[in-house]
Amino acid sequence: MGSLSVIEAGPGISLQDYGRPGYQRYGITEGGVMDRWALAEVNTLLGNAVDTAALEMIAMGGSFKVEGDVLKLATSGAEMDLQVDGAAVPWRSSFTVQPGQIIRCGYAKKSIYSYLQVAAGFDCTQVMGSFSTHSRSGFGGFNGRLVSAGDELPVMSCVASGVVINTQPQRLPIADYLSRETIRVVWGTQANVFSTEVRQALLNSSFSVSAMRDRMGARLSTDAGSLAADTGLSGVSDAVLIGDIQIAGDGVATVLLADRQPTGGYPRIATVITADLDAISQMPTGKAFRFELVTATQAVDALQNRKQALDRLDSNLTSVTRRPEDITDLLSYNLIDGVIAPGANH
Amino acid sequence: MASYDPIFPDIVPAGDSAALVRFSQTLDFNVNAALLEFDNYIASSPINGVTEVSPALVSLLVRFDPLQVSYKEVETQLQQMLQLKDWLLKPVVKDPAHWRIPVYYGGETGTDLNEVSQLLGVSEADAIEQHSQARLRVLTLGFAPGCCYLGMLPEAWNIPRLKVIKPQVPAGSILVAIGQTVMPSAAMPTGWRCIGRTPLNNFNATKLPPVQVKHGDTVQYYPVSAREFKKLQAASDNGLSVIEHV
Repeated sequence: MGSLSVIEAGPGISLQDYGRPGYQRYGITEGGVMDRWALAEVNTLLGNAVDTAALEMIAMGGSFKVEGDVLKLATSGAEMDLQVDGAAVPWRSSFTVQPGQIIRCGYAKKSIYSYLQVAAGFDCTQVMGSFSTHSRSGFGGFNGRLVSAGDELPVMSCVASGVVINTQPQRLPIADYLSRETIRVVWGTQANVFSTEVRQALLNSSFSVSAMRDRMGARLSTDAGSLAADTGLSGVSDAVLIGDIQIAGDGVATVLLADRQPTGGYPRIATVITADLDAISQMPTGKAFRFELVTATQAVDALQNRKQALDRLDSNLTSVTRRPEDITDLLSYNLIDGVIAPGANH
Repeated sequence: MASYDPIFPDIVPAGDSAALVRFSQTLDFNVNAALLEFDNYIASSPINGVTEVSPALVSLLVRFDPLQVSYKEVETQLQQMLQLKDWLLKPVVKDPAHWRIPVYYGGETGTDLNEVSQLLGVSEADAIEQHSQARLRVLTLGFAPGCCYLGMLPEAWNIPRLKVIKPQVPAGSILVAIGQTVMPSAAMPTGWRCIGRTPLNNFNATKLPPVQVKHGDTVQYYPVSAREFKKLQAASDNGLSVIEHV
């Protein structure tokens, strides 16, 4: 039985899948992966079902030792320096590792959320239909908490899961959602409590995600000034949506994300469309972007396009080919059984 | 019957994948009951493509997959349901459970009991009596898993929230403000005053449903001593039920 033992872990590593919709009525937020596209990518690289739970790393990776079995891994989301036993491996690709080898993921460059996955997925218990970790409430994932040094993360058996390990490493091109400069929105259910000036300011100003960001939400900086609502904050709490742009009493906007609270009383001026949730979640800290107002029809068309692109993700896979001159230690690899050890650097 | 704003209930889009059914813009005990009855009705006649329905205090979020069903179609079907009858007229919450829930009032756990009794202009003992004599309804669950919002307390309990948020109150805290009681199942920050603590943990991730006390249920609290509380808390920590189903 293979596993990854955690030697070092960044402060925000957790197991995540598409979350647990259906429990909001019990006060349980859907949660799940911050970048749904990247989860589909990392699983496509390995031939897993697109929603198989993967390790999400926030801004900082960690080191993992391969135990017990040959494993095939892949990465996606925010690019990190990735090394296996000190040799660089390209990001957004699959690679095979031997027992005893050490995988090291560095700091995220530009974007925030990175993903590490194994063929067949990690072995743990589903809670309310999902493997997602809800660390604030202490359930899901590995023992309901973030992954830390000393943990041993068991991997599902590929044989038992019917996953065929294709040892040929594959890669995906970087998707354009990681470099977006506009985020599309529709007006929120309480947009009418904001003045026309404030609503115009939302659409005409430059925004950036501040350092105050986490899985619950991202507080924005802007040159727009206060976006405070006309009326007070007497609104009765109602359901909060992922992507809601909430304006607190201080006039500052926060985009509510995967681990948002299920209900809230602050007015929400607009909502990021579903197709752009990955882009806003991954928006680099400090990078300028604008909000673009779209119609509901445009929002659904964008979602349809996204789904079509996602459905043909595997057609973007290309083989990772290695130039022989890059392979300094060619003779040390066992090429006979087709297991290609990592080290490709191109 | 109270007169309600004629524009309600209404249905508005929420993001690109949900419809929000609003019964009112202010909290009202009767409107909340109407909403819960409507929630029950939707559960009995599901709409194609709808993925989740979640009731808040006076509004109901209906999430759908826009690649399966259009907002227009969901809105039309919800509108038909709303027109079946006057939901605000004598609403009936279906099969509510009634619970008696122990609370250790005051002491080291209910640090704001004294302040609350002063705001009410009564003694601490009278404040405890008023709170524990009220028959409350679970108006909604929200904020965190299993966290109940109950109402309505007597008129005098319409006390404001704190100006400064407390960074953390423990699980089981009995919090009061604006005519309601909040009963969280985990430690959380709050702007409400804490008058006591219950050993009940209303959230269990391994059970379906994951909560014991749910929407529409009625609740009456009863005071227990510090000693009794400790005993019940130990039982609760061992997974035993500490509330009485009446």
